[in-house]
Amino acid sequence: MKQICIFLVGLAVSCMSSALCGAQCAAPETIQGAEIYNKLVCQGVQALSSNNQEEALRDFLSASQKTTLEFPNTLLFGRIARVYASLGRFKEAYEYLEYDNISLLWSMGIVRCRPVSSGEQEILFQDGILLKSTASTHMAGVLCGEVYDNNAYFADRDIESFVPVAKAILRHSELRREIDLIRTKKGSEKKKEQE
Amino acid sequence: MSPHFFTGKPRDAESNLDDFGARYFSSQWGRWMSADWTAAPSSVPYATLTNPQSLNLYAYVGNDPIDGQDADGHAQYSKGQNEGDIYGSYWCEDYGGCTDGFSQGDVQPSDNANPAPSQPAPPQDAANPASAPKAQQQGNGNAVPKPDHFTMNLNGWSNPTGNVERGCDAGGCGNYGARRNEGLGATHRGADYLGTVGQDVFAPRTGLISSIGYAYPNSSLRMIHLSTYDGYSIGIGYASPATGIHSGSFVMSGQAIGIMQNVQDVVGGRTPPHIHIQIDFNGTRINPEPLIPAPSF
Repeated sequence: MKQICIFLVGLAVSCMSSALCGAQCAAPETIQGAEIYNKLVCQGVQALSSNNQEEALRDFLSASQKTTLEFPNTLLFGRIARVYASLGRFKEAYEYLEYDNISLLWSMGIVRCRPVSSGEQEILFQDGILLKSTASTHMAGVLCGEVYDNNAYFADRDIESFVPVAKAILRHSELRREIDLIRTKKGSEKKKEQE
Repeated sequence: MSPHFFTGKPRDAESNLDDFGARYFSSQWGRWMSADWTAAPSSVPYATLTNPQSLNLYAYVGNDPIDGQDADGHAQYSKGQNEGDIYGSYWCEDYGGCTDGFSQGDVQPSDNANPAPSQPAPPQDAANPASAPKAQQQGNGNAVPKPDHFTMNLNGWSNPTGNVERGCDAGGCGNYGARRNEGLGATHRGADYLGTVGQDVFAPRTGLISSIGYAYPNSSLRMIHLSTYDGYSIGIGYASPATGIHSGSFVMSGQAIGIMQNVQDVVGGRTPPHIHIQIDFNGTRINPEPLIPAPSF
């Protein structure tokens, strides 16, 4: 009996140390059960820790192309925006920041998917108005899969379960501020160099 | 083009319904648009009490349009279906065995008389192949062996894989309402059923294939959508359409409509092969679990 207990405890510890039984690292962008996606995310995180931004970006972009089951892989957009910003590529950084923004609006039910007419591919709407921007069109291709349900985030939920959403919103605001700061800093550095 | 179609009756161009005189028939839904009636008072018009199919006042020729004919909108005639013939098994015996994919005794008593329940109906015995008609199981001098394959079921619910609901694993839990990725707390608004990659996937209910798309953008995982006559819209994910199944196909509960795909190719080996079922009833997402019958091992 004692041996069985030791084995179970050992299994639990090894499971936790291998980043929540499925993810290979503890990055917040990992998704439970999405093994292939998680592997790429964790490779990217490792590359970042070695200060290899280009390689990290490649891994993160590859991960964002991977399908995950019943949960869109939108958590990575903020991370990609941050890497683009540190590489000085602000056009892409703000583009991915906008993807992150739309993902959050979708997860809060403010932005929803629906077809323009019956049988057509779904696109994004807000307050009944079709969203036509490039970013919105792009995100319709990410968020409007047939398996996703517009009410998945609100159905049968208690107040506590909104805490992760609130945290994600705060994280997005901080990220936007951080990218703005990096841009200002890089801009002033460039100015000094020119002087 | 002739205004006379499969039924041989003229079709109204505006409503798309076939006029039989006594009532209108919807070719799209394979059923009458109104219940059968008689001029003289009758509790169940034109029914033969020994034939449960005839008790369904909305069914066209006892749900056997291949063999049956209706002249005026009241007839219940089907080939071999004289008074006293109750189930399809008799037709099979009389006509040299079933070779068209229908199993013996697969016609069940109907629940069509209540076509649009205000609440989703609980699982019914009729939906469970294990509770096949007694005439089939017990025999009455004409012992019929228990089928060794999935039985079609016209009016009930069928298990889509013939297997159990997915429990919890490295990829999360398969039940309706399970949380998906606590990071943002999405809820699983469907139910997953385990199976084997490449196996048949069965229609959970009789209806029309309304569309066949993809479960996720830029993914190979498919999603088959089925609309039923009584207000259910069913999405069957991670199954590619079987040969001959396309948008507009009429399929029966228990009929093989798809082939199970390998989710492990997409997400990795820690998540077991399964299909995903999501059901909307009159536009509202509901829990499939009370509707889908347990497998009959």
